[in-house]
Amino acid sequence: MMHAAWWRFTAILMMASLGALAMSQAPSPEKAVDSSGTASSLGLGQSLFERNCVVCHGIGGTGGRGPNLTRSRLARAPTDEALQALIENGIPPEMPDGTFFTEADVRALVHYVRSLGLVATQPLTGDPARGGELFATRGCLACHIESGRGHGFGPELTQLGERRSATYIRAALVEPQAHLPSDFLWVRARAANGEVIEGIRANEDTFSIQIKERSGDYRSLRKADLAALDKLPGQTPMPSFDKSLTPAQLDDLVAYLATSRDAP
Amino acid sequence: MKRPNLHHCWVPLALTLTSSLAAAQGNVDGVKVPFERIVNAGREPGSWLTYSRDYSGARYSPLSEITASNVQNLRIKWMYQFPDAGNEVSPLVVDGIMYVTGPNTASALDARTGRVLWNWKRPIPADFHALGFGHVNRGGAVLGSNLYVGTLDGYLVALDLKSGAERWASQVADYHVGYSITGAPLALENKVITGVSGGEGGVRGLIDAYDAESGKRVWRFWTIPGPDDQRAFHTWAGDSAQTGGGPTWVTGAYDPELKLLYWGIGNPSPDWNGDARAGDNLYTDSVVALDTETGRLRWHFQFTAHDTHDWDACHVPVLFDGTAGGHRRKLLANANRNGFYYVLDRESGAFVTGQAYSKQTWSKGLDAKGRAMVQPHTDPTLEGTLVWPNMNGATLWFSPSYSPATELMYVPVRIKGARYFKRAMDFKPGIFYPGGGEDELSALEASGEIRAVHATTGAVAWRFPLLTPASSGVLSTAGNLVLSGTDEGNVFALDAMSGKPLWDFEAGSAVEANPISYELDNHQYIAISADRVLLVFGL
Repeated sequence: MMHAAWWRFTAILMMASLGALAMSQAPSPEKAVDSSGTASSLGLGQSLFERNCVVCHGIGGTGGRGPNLTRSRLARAPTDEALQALIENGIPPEMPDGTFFTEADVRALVHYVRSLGLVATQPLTGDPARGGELFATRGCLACHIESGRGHGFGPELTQLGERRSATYIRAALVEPQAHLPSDFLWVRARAANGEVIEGIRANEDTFSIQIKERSGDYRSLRKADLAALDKLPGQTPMPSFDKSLTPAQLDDLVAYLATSRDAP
Repeated sequence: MKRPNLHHCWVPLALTLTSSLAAAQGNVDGVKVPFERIVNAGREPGSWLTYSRDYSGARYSPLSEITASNVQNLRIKWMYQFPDAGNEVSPLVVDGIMYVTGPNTASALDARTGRVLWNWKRPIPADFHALGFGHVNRGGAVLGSNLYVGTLDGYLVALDLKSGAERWASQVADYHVGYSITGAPLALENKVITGVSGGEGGVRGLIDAYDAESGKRVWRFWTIPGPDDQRAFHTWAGDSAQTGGGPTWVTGAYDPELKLLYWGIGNPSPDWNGDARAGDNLYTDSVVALDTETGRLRWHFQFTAHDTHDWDACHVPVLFDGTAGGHRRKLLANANRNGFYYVLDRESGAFVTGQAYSKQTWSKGLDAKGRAMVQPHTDPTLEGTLVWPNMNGATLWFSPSYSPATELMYVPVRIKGARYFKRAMDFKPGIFYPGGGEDELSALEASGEIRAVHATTGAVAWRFPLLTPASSGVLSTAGNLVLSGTDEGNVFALDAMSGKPLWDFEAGSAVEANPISYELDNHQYIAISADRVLLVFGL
């Protein structure tokens, strides 16, 4: 009997988050890598998770009625201690408490849940300092905000290394259209007078759509007033840097973005 | 009248009624809502006396002030802020007073202004765990001078309609082992019927009848059979019936002429791992017809045998009369969570017709008896099996609507797939017992519809596309309108004949409730909840 208000966690919040360009925090398609604890603890945690948590959080913690847990930062549980307390106490009224878990169970669950959001530290051949210069001079800041600089049209890239591996970042720079966040959607609307409005879908409901244009301005449109509305999955205004950067420069840029993490 | 502070006045609170309200109440000292009033709900189109307005489950309003030509002028008349989020209530409106419920709460509101008349609250025990659902309540039932409400901690409570004072509280089932009540009761001649939640806890499902005056249990129907029902009992391998599930968390329908109660039954437990429960697993995912005097089973029809996808048949059965097979028949329709629309003969339970109404990939279709011809390789696996619909189904608990004016059934449709996983599972009372889970496909791969189908055949009349899978019930009216809401926050009206959109309103939060309509002072109102707010619209 799964029922009730599970979707309030998905569609509305997801749509709202589109406007805030939180799509850079969308579920990572990359495999999480555990960096601490033991394999047996991880196995116990996974087993407990799959028996008790997947109804709301999905089989791999990717979310459903409950929030997606495959992210490096959990808003309600920024530390392991907070996550442990959350599992023990629940979040009334939606999330039940875990009073039936032993202390070892809770530790194993914390271990497993944390592993879902870990992004591997990979060997980097580039120079982050040179990459930072490239980032500042090759147009990235025209669309992205990073550490407070730039323009907020595309996804924010501050501390991107916490959410994305070097492998993913390189792939996104080389072939951006194939590595878009799951909730990113480029749209093109044509008004009845012929005007074309193109940009990122910031929000949408059955009767209207809000589009963020390249200028950063928003347009709120009634669908009934449009002659056409094309949704263009896989399209993005971000260019490929495969040809415009040398391999060494690409290494540098990847190194800069992949090492952009919270201070330890 | 000053609105009581909900956060500080959670006691039964008898307030002085305004003179105009008292006048509207009419027979304030006698039996306010005798059974005959509900049976004859058609005689008072301005009231909403039971969950679906009348016993047929049609959620159809005979009111016609609001029409296609003036619905564009709908405006908010008043709003009510619930004490809890995520409300799914279908209000009742009786003699100028609206009754709303929440998780272990109930309130009486002046239906003209939204002013609170009384509040009632029953504390939710600190050790209560909701297994697979939110803290919600979908509505109450009225009969005589009482309002009946189910509680999360498994009680059926009778409240005095005038004051909210508690008359009795009867324990239906123990929440410690996974039972709960989220659905609205159904009040009949002298009984109050309630179902239970618990399908993710391995409970033994039940439908109970309680004496409306005393609160004593009159009968119980177990949805998971015991050895005394050999035919059904043997549809469970080994001792799997002991943890078989079969919850009953959505309100049923009633035929006063046949004296039959119709009620939908939920999923078998564990949800996604059927290895230990080989067999059809009766009476899960079925609709049952019960004799209201005894609770005995008259007939059953199972929509999904040996379910491994959590496709509860917890829907409001819709009763209507139509021509099928060349003659007029008493029919029952069910747009099921499994993706098929069924028409049954409600006297015998015989299958009349059925067809898919949403994307589904698990069945090749229905055979002559209405049994699904299951596709191979659609069960959950360790690696995941992609199937449509996802576990929340092609529709969910929220109500469809049948209009006798158009003879169309309006179904809120969900189009979404998922990868289903199977996992090993141990049973512990009161703990999740799912046996797996799912990964939903992304929001970009999902959508919804309001679909109008010819009620007797299931053939499509029209479709109105929704951006996301449907999340709200549907109301149809004699004003040739269909009203519903969306997960994106829209409340909207469509033309009942064509599906053409006529009006919409942004509520600012997900709409996940059933709409109703009522009349006061010769004016029609529409009411629907959006998260924490009850919205009441009028011209």
